[in-house]
Amino acid sequence: MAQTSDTLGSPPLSVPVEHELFINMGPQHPSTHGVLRVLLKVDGEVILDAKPDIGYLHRCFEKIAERRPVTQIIPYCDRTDYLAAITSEWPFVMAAERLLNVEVPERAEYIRVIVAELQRIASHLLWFGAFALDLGATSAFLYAFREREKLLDIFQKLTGARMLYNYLRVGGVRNDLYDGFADDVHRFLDDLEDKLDEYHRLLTGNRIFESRVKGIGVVTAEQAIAYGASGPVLRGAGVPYDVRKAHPYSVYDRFEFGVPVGPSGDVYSRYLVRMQEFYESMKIIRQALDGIPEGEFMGKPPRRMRLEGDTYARVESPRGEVGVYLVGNGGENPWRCHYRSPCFVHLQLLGPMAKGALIADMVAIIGSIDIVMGEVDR
Amino acid sequence: MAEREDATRPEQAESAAEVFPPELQPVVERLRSYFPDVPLRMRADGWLEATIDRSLSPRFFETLKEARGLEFDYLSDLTAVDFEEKGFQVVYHLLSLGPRADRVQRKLAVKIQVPRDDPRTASVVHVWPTANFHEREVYDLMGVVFEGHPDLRRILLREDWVGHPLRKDYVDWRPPRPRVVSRTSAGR
Amino acid sequence: MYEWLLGTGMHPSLANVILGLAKAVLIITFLATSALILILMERKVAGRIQNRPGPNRLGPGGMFQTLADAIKLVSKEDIIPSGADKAVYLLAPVVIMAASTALWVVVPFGPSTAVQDLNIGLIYIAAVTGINVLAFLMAGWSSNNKWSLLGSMRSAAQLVSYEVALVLSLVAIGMMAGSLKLSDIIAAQQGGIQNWFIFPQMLGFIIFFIAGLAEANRAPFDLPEAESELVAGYNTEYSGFRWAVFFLAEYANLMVFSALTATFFLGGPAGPLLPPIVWFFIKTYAVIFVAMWIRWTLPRIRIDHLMNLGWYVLIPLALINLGWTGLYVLWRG
Repeated sequence: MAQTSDTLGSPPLSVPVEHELFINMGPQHPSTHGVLRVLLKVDGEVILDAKPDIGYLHRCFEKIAERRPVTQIIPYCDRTDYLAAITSEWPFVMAAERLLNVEVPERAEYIRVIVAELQRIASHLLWFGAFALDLGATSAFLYAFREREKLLDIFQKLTGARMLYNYLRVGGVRNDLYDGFADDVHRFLDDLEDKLDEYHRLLTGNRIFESRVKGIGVVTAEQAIAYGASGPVLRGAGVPYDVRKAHPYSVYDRFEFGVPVGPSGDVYSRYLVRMQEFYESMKIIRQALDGIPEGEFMGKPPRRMRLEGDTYARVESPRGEVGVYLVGNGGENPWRCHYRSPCFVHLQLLGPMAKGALIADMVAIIGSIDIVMGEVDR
Repeated sequence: MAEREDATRPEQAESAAEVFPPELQPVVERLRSYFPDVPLRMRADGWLEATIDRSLSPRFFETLKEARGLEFDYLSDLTAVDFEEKGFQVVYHLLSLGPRADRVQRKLAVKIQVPRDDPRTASVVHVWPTANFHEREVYDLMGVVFEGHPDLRRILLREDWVGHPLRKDYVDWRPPRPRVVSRTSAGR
Repeated sequence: MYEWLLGTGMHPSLANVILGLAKAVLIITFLATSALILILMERKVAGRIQNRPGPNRLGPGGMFQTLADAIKLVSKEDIIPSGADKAVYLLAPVVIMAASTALWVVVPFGPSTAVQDLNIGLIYIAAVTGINVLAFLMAGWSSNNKWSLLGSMRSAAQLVSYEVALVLSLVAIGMMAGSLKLSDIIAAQQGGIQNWFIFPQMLGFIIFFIAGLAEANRAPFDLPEAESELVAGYNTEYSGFRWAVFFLAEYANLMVFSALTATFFLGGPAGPLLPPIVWFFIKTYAVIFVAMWIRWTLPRIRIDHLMNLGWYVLIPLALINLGWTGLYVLWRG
């Protein structure tokens, strides 16, 4: 079939009338969290329509994955959602393990859980800082990063890298926990609890903050489900769906933790859900550290990893449900590796959420979705 | 008990595909009552899999969403695989959530085979609005046209791109850029 | 000074003019120096609030940081956007500098030391703060940039709204002192801390402080230049030295409103032991510090909430304050 160029479809936004203004937010903009372009049609300050335009960070991850053996794809997975690299590697590694029928030893599963929940805390810290920064409370950004630094130091001691770890492998993890890991983590968690109180005092009860986020960017539960939302966006709307609880993977079914659900579907609810997730993650980490068994940190993957069949593996990342659809045809490279990114899906909600809001609210809404463009564009 | 996401059942090879776990039995029966000819099997990772012809397309999905006992209201992923001469395979992964997320054990993957020389199938945007971006991405990278999509444009690549890069026979059409060695760095 | 000039046999009018020019140069130098100090202070205060040291590399305690920044800004390429309305674009920084400087004319550095202690001091202040609006509108409109336009529209709305509350609280001050002259206002607060106007005028103080923050475009009212929303608002297309002028004017504004707060409510340049001018600076910088503290703590207010606050809350409160002041003045006799 002849290669078609793109001429299908109607133009993105209808032509503006007299007093309406077509404004471009991004791709270079201090608060679009990466290279995101949002086309706004505004009437004064009121947004009439908003359409995201993406693709500025497309790095052909899926095409590259078709030409690399499985272990070499794992670093690429890191770089999709670079703020939550472990949970980006995990679905891929899980999918490969299913296709190759590899057992992951218990200790490795526990390590994965601990590292993933630490990653969740790190990601939420950054989200908190960036969200506060966008709303004008600059200092909160620096406080969040102060906490994050300690966490990144722990990650560096464990995996060798601060942000893009390349730590998970088919069958386990790359290396075992270092001596003193548990002490470091416990110290960090205790400190974090105090700091979380500080954050709550700084933002949560503040009148100005509440007026900026309450009632903004409302998503109803039906809308959220229909638009495929997941993670805090879905839970903020009141639907208690968490992949770790609904379809438990790894050893999550051994831990007691709650799934915070927001009261209404607005920015404030999503904020509260994420703030509560800090505490839930801390619970999981503490339980995991208490119960971690001795054993191997790596299973027995086959020497030649020939992938056969297809599978869809999903994981709960800080942003939502990350999925990898992996298709193998007997070779060492995947035949197809599709990465289902939660933020890609959430961007579709930008239009419904922004209607009738002010431009200043746009910033709050984008911040509440917690967008990472690396994941959206891959 | 919740079905474990990563349960592998190596003993269930292709031939034993007719054995369905008890929590999916009612779904299977419902589905067969509406579409008796659609082949169903259990995939090794715990997903029910249906392969349909594209002529069934919008009606099948509408039934999946609306019918009592099915109510697949959550489209988790929509993607396509290029199988060269066999054409493209559009894959849908569906879940059932419900407002209390208590129906989550229904997991269904739907596959539609689409010939290579006529890669079009019906859009499901009117069933699940989330399909909008997914279908645009599949169109952009694979070239599968979704009929009925309200706004089928490229999403990740720029608007004037020619070709569909994720295809197996894709050839980069851009002319090679000349390599320039800078002479101004030294001797300034 | 005036007598010395006359002594040289100069014509009195010429002596007046020369004196006036000298004062103008003095004020501008003072503004430039204070801006230098203020910018460094802001960065250090911000740093400390955020648990980091702030600039500390250039000079002891980072003293020369602002100087280095100023040199950098002056040496930048002067860019004028292609579609910009050139005359207006070039004039906007001039106007805003003029407005900020003009306010300093009546600020009393000592009990009777102002550049020009006008009889209509309060009215003059109310009038000149209005020129700010003009400058922002000019900057935003002429930049030929939608974001600048939005910023300047927001700014105009904000400044106009808060000016009403500001002026109303000034009226109360005038009533308390019985005069529009700033030196009279200071004189009325002489004799110890119990005479400071802040105590009977607590409501007025709060209104004036908040309205002053809004007039100076300081967070939480810094929407016109809200970095994370409008890139830089009306400032977006200004770079290099022109932007430095806007920046300077912002700090001059902040300082003048703090100085006025100190004058009207905290007794101005008055206090035991130290010379009056030292007290003036102590009080002014104390108010500035509080303003900076607020900036780095609170999130930004949204435009419609800002307008609500200005019209529905501050103005009624200011009117109530007027009523209360009237009663107080009558009772005081």
